Amino acid sequence: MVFFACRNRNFSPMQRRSLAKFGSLMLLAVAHWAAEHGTVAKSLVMVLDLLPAFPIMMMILVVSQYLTRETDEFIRLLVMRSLLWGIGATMVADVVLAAVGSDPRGLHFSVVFNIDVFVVTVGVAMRVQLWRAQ
Amino acid sequence: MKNRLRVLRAERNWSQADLAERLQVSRQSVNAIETGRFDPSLPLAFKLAKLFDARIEEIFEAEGEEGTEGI
Repeated sequence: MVFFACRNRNFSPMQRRSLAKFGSLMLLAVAHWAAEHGTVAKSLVMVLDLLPAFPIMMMILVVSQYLTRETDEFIRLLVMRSLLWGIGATMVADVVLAAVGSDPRGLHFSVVFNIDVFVVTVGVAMRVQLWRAQ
Repeated sequence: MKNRLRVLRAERNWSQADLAERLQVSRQSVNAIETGRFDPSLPLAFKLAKLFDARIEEIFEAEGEEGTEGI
């Protein structure tokens, strides 16, 4: 969704740049997940285990930079609302996954999925709000 | 907040996209302001007033303010 949005000509160059930065950080999170579930040496996995903190911190930086530079106050409002939806959905997902994971025989999810839940929810919330604002 | 944006825009034969371009905002912003779903900030309201060569209160009207003139 982020990558398609990067190429969307309806976005300003600044908006596309911010989305590209955000997307590249998502790739880092995906790379970490792939390494964790692949055939990479355990020591490397341990180093990579610390990496999810980096894209999250950078995402916060990129989003705050974007919000500072976005001159369209209505779009800024929509982004803020979408971020709130993202935070809310991530918290709900955490509670649900913790409940599911409390059963030893049940499914267990990596916390790295928090990023996916957050990003997908923000994307969907933004798309719905833009559709409503047509 | 009610506003006369649609009327003022129609008088000049501008589309929402035209107005958005002049204000340097998105068309969605203009639509949201016109439909009263979004109240612009003071700087944007001043920008609108300057663009339409009118006072802010000639464009925007607070809800329930009708008929209070002169009180």
